[in-house]
Order: sequence, then structure tokens, then C-alpha cells
Amino acid sequence: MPELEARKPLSPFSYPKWVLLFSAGVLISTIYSLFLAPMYIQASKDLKAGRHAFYNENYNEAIDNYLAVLDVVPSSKEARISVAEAYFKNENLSDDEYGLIYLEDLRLEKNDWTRIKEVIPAKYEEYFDVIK
Amino acid sequence: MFFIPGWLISLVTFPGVIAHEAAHRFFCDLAKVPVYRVCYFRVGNPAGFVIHGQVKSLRSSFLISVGPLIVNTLLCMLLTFSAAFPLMILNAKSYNPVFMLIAWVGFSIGMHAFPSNEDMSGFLEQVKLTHERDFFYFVSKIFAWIIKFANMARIFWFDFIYAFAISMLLPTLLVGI
Repeated sequence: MPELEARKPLSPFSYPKWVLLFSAGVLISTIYSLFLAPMYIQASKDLKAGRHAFYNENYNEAIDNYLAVLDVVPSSKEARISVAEAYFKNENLSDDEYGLIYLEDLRLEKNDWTRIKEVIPAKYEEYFDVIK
Repeated sequence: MFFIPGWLISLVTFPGVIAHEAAHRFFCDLAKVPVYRVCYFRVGNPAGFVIHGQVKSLRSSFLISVGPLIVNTLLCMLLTFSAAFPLMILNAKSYNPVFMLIAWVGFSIGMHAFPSNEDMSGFLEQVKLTHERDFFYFVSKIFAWIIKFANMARIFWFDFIYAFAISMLLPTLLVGI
């Protein structure tokens, strides 16, 4: 410790430029993250509301909620599967094709397929392939 | 369970090391403790360090040790806040690269929130030197042992689990899953 004390300490609160730049980057990123947050919070709340409506058999309300999620995050797998489920379950048979559209190009895991299989009309099952 | 060398984890999560050392340095400055050398990041063990002079009080020592825990935890929570929704709750399949970059920085910072064993050794020395046996003394001792335990648990990816838990905390509180 004495040899340490003999050395000249660094000036307080003086940081290398790159550390200041790094800190500024982190600060800007934090602001950006917080700026985007309300949109994603709302989308997550819509997803939750959609699930609630679906379990209460209000399928059209569930569809509206899930579509609101997809407006913000079009690639949301959870919302696409959920909206397809709701389209298959509602009383309007012409909506079934919309359900298929939302499942297009989606890679379904085993548990996803279990969910879909419960609600999808049998005639559409042939459109799905097992790839592994 | 698989093991990855510490230097490799530090390399992949280097923003966390920089934030950790910068927080140490900042709290040394706040506590008016002279700092003689700082390494914000290097490939090696330790990945970063702050060499400072003698700390005059247990409170200052606590501040310097706990500083990175507070700063890194808050930054992790805020930086990953937006990313946690599409990634973990909405299960999005395509992401904006900027968004992924911010999430990686935030997660890396969270993984380096805990003070190292070296930080804790210095802090425990200060605890031993303290003559007062007040409430703060016992809080400090408990804190030091919790951190030592957390560092031991790193072998079980505790730092990763901590960063994940912190990232999910705000979304879970606000929306639930």
C-alpha cells in the first residue's frame, strides 16, 4: 500500500473519452428502449386481453386484440397462432381461411400444433407438413 | 451443465465489464477515494480492475462495492425492458438489429452486476477493521456473504440467471405473463 500511495492518483471524475462515449451510447440506448416500451407494453396487454376473451369464448373480441398485437409486432408467433385459433373457433366459417393465412410460413413446434389441431377444421390439416 | 471459460464469457459480454469498472471508478470518486489505476477491459483474468487507495469508512467501502451492483442492475433492467416484450412475451420471429444490439448490451451489463470475489475480499477487510458493531456492520457482513455465495454459484450460470430475471422483472410486474 505505501508504494501505491506514492503514486499520483488519477484526477477524480475524469474518464477516458471512449468510456464517456460508451456511457453516452448506453444512455441513448436506455432512452430509446424506454421510448419504445409503451408500444410493447400495450401489445403485451392486448395479447393478455385476447387470451382472456378467447377463454371466455368471445372470439371476435379476441381477434381484435390479437390483430392489435400484430400491428405492432407482425412476426409475433404467439399472436399469429392465437389469432388463427380464434378465427377457427368463431362462428363465421368464412374466417377460417384468415386463420390459415396467419399460420402461413410459420414453423410450429409440437405444442403449437397441439393447440392448432384442437381447433382447425379437419380439411385444412393436409396443408401442414412435418419437417423433422 | 457445460462450462465456458470465464475470459470467453467476459469477451462476449465486454460491455458489462466496462460498465462494472466504470461504476467502481465513479463510486470511488464519489467517496473521495483516490484511484491509481483502472483497466476497463482486457482479455484475461480479471477482465477489468480498479486499483484504489485506502477507504476511510465502511460506508464508503460498501458504496464502492455495491455501486456496480446497483448501476448494472438498473441499466440491465432499463436496456432490456423493451426487448423483453417481443422476445420473451410476444415471441417475435424477426427483430430489428439495433434492438438486438441494445438487448445484448443490457444483458451483458446485467451479467456483470455482481461484485467480484476480489471486490468482496477488500470489502471484508474493511468490515474486519471496523470497530463499531452497529446495524450497518451486520448488513455489510450479510451482503458480503451473499455476494460470495453468488460468485460461487456462477459455476451454475447464476450471473446469466440473474440477468435473465432482472430483464423479465419489469415486464412481469407491468403485464404479467
